[in-house]
Amino acid sequence: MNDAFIKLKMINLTVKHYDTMLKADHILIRELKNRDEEAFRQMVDHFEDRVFNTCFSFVKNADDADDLTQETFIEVYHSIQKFREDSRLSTWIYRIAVNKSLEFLRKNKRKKRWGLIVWLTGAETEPEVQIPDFNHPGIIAEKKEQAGILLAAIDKLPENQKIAFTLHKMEDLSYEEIAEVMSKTVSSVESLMHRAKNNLREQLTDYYNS
Amino acid sequence: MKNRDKHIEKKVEQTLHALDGMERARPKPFLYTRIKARLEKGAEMPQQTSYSFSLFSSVQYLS
Repeated sequence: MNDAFIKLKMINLTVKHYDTMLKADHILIRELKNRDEEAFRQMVDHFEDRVFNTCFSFVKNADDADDLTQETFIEVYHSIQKFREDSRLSTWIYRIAVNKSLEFLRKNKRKKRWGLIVWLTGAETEPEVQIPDFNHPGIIAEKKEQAGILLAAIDKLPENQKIAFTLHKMEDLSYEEIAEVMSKTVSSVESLMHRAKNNLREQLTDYYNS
Repeated sequence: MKNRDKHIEKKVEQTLHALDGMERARPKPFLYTRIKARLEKGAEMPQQTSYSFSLFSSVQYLS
C-alpha cells in the first residue's frame, strides 16, 4: 500500500465518522445559523427522541407531544440566530421543549377552568374534562401500575419540582444538566429534588394508606 | 401495625423507582418531513448547502 492510498483511506474513514456522529456544537450551530438544511435535518434526527420523550412526559398524550416536538424544532429554527451559545445546544433545546410543554399544560388548564365556569353558569351541560390515557411505551409491563401511580403523584408537584424530577427520571439528566436547562444553580436543583422526593413520599404513603 | 407501616414504606420506595431504567418514548416516523412541511407552510425553509445545490443542478442538467 502506498502512502497516498493510506492517506485517502484515512480521509474516507474520517468523513464516515464525521457523518455518523453529530458535529461539535459550535460547527452545528454555525451551520444552523447559516440556514443549512442538512445541518437542520441532522439536528432533528439527533434530538427528536429526547424532545419527544420530554414533551410526552409532561403532556402525556402522543399526538400533543408530537405537535409540541415539531413546534420545538420550528422554534429552534426561528430562534437560532438569537442563541448566544452560553449553554450547550442540547440544554437550549430541552429548555424550549419544557417551556412549550408547560405553556400547553397552562393553556389546557385555563380551558378546563373556563369549561367549568361555563358549566356552573348553566351555559353547557357538562364541563370539558380531559383525562389523558397515559401509556408510556418505555415502561416495562411489571412496573406499569406503580409507574402510573408515581406519574399521577408527579403531576401534583409544584411546577419547578415537577420539571426537575421529570428531567431527572424520564430523561436521565444529571443535576448539572437540569440546572442549565432551568437556569438555576446545582444546589437549588438538589434542593428541588429533595423536596420533590419528600412530597412524593408523602403522597404515595397517603395513597397506599387509603 | 409496624408490619403494615414497613410494607407501605417498601411499596412507596418501589414506586419511587418505578421509572428507573425506562426507555424513551419515540415520535412517529418521518418527523422531519412533518416539520419541513410546517415550515414551508409557515415561512421559509433552511436553504440547501451550495454543495448539494450544485450537485442537484448538475444532475438536473445531465438528465
